[in-house]
Amino acid sequence: MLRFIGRRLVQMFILFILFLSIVWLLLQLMPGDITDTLIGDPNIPLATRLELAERLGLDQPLYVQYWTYITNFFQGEMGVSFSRYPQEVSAVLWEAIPRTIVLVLTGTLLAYWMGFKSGKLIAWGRGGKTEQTFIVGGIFLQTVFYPWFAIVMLWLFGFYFGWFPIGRFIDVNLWQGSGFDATDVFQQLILTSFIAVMVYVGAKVLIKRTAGNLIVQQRLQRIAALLVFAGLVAYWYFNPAREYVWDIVWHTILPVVTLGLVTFGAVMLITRTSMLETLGEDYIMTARAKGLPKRVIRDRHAARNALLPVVTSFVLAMGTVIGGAIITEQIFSWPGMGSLFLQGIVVSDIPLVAGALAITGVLTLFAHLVVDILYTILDPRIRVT
Amino acid sequence: MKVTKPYGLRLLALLAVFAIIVAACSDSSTDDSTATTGADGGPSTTAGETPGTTGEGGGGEGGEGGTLETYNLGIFEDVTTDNPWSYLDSSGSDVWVGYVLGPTLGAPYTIGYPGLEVIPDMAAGDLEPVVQEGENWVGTITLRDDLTWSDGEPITAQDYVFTWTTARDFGLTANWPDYVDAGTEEAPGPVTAVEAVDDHTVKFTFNAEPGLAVWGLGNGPPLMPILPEHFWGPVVEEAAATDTPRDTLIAASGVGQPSAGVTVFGEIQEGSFAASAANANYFDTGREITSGDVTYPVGPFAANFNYPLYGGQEAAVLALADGEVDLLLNPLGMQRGLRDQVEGNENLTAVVNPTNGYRFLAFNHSRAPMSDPAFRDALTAMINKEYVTENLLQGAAFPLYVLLPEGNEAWYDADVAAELAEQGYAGLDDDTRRATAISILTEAGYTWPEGAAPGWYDADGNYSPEPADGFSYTAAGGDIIGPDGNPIETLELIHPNAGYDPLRATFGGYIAGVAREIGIPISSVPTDFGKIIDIVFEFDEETASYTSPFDMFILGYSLGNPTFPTFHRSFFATGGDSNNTQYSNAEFDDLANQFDAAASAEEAKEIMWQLERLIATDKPHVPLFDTGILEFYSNNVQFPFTETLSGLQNIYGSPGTVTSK
Amino acid sequence: MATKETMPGLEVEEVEVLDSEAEATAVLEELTGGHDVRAEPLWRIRLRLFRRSFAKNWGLFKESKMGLVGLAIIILFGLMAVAHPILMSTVWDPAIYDPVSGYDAVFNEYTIVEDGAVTDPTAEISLSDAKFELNPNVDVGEVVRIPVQPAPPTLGGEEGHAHLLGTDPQGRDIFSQLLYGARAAFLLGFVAAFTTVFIATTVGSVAAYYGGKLDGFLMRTADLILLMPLLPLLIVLSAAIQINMVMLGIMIGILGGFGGDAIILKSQALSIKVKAYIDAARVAGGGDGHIIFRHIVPNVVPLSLLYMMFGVTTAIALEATLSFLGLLNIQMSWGIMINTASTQGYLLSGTSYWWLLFPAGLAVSFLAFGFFVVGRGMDEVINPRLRAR
Repeated sequence: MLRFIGRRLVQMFILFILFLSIVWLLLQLMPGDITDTLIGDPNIPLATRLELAERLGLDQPLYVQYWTYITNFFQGEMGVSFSRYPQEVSAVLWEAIPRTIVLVLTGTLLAYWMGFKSGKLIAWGRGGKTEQTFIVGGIFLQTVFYPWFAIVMLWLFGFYFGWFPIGRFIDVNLWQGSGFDATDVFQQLILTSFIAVMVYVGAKVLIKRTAGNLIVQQRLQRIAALLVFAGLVAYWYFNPAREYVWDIVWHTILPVVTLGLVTFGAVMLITRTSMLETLGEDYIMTARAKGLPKRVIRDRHAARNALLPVVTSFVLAMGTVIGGAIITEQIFSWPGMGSLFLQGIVVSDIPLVAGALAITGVLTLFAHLVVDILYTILDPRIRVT
Repeated sequence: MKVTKPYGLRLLALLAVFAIIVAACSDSSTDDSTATTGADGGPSTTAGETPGTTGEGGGGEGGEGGTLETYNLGIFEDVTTDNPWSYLDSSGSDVWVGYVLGPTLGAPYTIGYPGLEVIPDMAAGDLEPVVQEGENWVGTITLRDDLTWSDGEPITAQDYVFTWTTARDFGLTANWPDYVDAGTEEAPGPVTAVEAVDDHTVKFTFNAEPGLAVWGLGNGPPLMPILPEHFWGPVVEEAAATDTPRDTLIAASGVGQPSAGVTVFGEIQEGSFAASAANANYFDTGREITSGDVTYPVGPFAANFNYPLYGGQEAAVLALADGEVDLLLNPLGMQRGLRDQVEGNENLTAVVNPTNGYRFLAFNHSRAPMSDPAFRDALTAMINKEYVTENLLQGAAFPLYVLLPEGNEAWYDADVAAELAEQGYAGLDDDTRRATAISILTEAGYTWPEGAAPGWYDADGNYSPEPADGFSYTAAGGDIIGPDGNPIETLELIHPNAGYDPLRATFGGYIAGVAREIGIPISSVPTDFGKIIDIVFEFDEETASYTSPFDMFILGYSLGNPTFPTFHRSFFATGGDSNNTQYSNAEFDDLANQFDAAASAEEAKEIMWQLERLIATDKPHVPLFDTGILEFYSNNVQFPFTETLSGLQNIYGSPGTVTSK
Repeated sequence: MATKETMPGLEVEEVEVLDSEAEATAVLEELTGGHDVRAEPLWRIRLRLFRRSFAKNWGLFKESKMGLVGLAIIILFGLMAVAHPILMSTVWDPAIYDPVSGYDAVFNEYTIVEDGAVTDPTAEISLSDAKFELNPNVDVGEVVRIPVQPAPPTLGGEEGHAHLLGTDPQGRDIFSQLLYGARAAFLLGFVAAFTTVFIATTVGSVAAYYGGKLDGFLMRTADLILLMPLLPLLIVLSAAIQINMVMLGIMIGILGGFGGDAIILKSQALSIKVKAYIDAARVAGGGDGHIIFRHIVPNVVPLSLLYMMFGVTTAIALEATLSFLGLLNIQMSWGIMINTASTQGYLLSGTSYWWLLFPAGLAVSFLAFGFFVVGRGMDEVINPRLRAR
């Protein structure tokens, strides 16, 4: 197993270098550079522009620029952002990554949880109007023109009903002069949520090991979930940054739901398909023949195996954070990596764009590795060779 | 560069390009609210008034306005630095930074809005002319004695000298060289020395007599913002000791910096907002300013200034309608279609202002036939700008015939402009245009293949170069032949594509169409904006000149400081910084030099219109059209004036004079 | 199937006919129960086989109501695409109805008066409105002509032209744009789909058939392409080069076809490679190319058609997104229609300018929906477990 992981890691490292090189080369194709943005302004002398190009290293031959970039990258330096000179790309990205991850992770987790549940149910109770409605709805959500959908959501719930804030991730008037830094609070929020999830997973494993009956297990799990959630809420309720955290959460709801809905459709359909395939397997027949309760067959025998492709698609989805986030962040004024990426493209801030893409690459590769490992663990039919 | 109505990515592109340019163009050192009425204005109010408590009184002076707790100004891109050195340098030169830092800066002289005149701010009176002393000339600026930073420290002549010296020694770029005017090591001047004679007097030594661009109306030393030595001194000293002094200085944090403007910078939360507070020690508070035909009192009448960041115009307008924000700041203005939502909402107001820019057709003057004035003239005659703007563009733009924007009232001369419009063939019908173009081309020696000449034919095939009874117009049947007898090869006209700017894309297609009508083979090539920039500004560093690998292009320019329009030289003089069309005209160069040396505003204006006349005759660019800048604000707030060149965004949303309604 | 070398002494044509007939008969006998087909030429037998399997699959596909709905949607959009050039050359005047350069100019004439002094709104306009509509430099007293756009749907009448879905801010007919957009979408969809199928089947089959280093190389390349985030990559590409509809289709096809699809089709091809008839063909002397393109590819194609359907969905959505961001160098498409509405600021006007946004937005969504459900219908044909019990 370790050898398998080791070999995959080496392969991935090579893949990553190739990926980074391709990205870097593609970016060199982009017309112009940052100094072009100063062109045509009668107040900026030519000498200034040339001087800026020199300072940013744009006058070096391409291979030198390339080599410097690659070597620096592995020392953790992604260079200096052209458009936010002299800020470091890594610093700029570091601030944006948590925001994007929260947006995408929450949205995706929610969508997968809901999608898996409903996919399981509609596959189990095939036929009928409910299934049709869910399928049509699911397909529509999956194929709807996303930017348009997001705008409709924003208009409807942000403006027409006025239930949610119109974009952005904090309320300025509240934060101004509060002494709290949004990034810090954000990171704390992520940390505590992560701990809460870990505690819940731990509790779940414990429950599985001790309680025998599936029905009891499910009940206990629900109680555990409730307790963990209550604990999380209580922690923040007694925290001095309470209202600020609530403000962030409040701003997060609409974009997360919008992003989540689209993912939800896809997950539901995948689960349904996967569930139907599993239900045709012989061992399900056997279980039915044995007269096991339907719920046990559904949740324990069928759903668990149906989970495999769903987990795969989840992990892979995690690798595409930027792609999914670009439109959402653009429309909801969400200051994450997607927005940075778009801005970077626009002003030919090559280090920033390359940095954002490289991080996507790392995440995707990592996700692939996790899929590989999960498969070998979960599916006995795949053997490490 | 300026453009209209892009969205999404292109909007960002535009903003980014525009932002930097506008920041540099709009005089970054000025704030409309920081000007006094003149020498006799004198210190008339106590500097310690706190906004919020004196607001009622201040508002009363201005009319019916009251104080505001918070003035919310929506922005569309991150404020990337809080460092004024960087803001006025190319590194942080960005309109979004300007919106926040601009109102924190003060200078001896400033531009008064809406009248666009240079008026004293920190200086005690009007700018005195320079005096010759031996080989040198000497100028003096006397600062008022009631000036204080927002932390209560006095503002002195030493602060000015500190700022000037730092900018020169650190080699700061972009706006700084104009303020410093010290030239290079090889060619120093015109400013050779700046010293503080006493706490309130700054003495300038020039090695040549400075023109208005340096000493008077342009962005010269009198308009340079003063930065506090007691705050920046240690930072500068530390930076000077490093290997990269300039980079270290512009990377330094500006948190806690004292202000000499109407607001004091507070904080930036990247990705969400920036915030400033009112300057309680603002030395101009309570002053009455008269600029143009408006008189208004200076505040601030708001206690806090927030700059929330929005990702898109739609969301921002919804927030405006919701009362979340009071004014939206955008160098390009708001999209036309959004006005319908604003018009339908009685809590919102829309204003439109002329912009300080123009969009044009440019020729490569090093290639035939574009190098031939007759060719350019004939093509211009064919372009019916009214038809395009009214019919094809449905009123989204208006036609232009001179470069100087009509909104620049101090410099605009309607009579000359009308005369030049005639030279630009304004208001002719299509038949007259065709006849004019055909006669110009024929006179210049252009011909058409046998029987293919454009013109009027009767039923028997008789030809007339002018409209006549019984004759009907037929377009050219073949490509035009140059005076040298060689047919003209297809010429490429590159212009932005419809996704980026539908207005210029439409013009591009239209021009190619009318040109073909008289046999000029132009093909319109919609091109990615970045690609166009790459092509038309291709620069050869070896020869230090533009290579100009194009035939014709359509782009837009934003123009610099409106109080002293130096753009003509930049675009058309031989070796001009932005002269990328290889245009070279000795008469023009001569006039441009005279302009720079002009001693009075009247003289400069006179010469500037001679430059305009030359451009209208020789047509190195054909100005095509412009659009107004559209802005929205909430009726929670009111301004002493909303009609001003390039709109309220150009004066940073007028933080010093805004009141509640 | 035998080749010339293995049967010397006979006329080539005869060999093929005889041999093929024999081969075909064997198959047909199995399928038709001994029906005599000897007299039929090979192509007709093939056609019959095709029709037979088509009828069977169509029967299965028919059971999926959703699939039928999807097919109906695709046909409807297909008719729209076909209708556009016909309408343009018959009923529609290109000067008015051309989706890109046509426009319908409707003007109202007004005299400019001071704000608030408008007494007759049909003949007078306030100064501030005129400044907005025309030019910030106009003044009181001038007589101006103001265009009326975007105009709501109208059936035309005495003087005006019919605009079934209204006009856009530049006075262009939305209905005509919508029909033209359908053409563009089909063009894009088909280019993307065929590129995907071509690349995916070729790469998958070749990798499966040869195995070894070539397989390793192709699969690592596929991994690398899979690693590329599609939307950001296309954004970078569109910033770097000018992308038109066909190029976009090819790019999406390559990125989709050489990535995940190639890997899936390779596993399908692997399962075919081990079938007995492949060995038989090889023993009979079939060359590599022959085996790949006559035996493996045809068996992989049905599955790849399925991915082609999903590929079309992706391509349509990507085009619209990139156009929405204003990145593509194309004249007109549904994405450009939305971009036009958004660049002019009509995107969040809610329902008051519905004709600018809803036709194009829904067309993108529906056509993608159509292809997607047809793909699902096909999936049910290929994957028996998904069929209704």
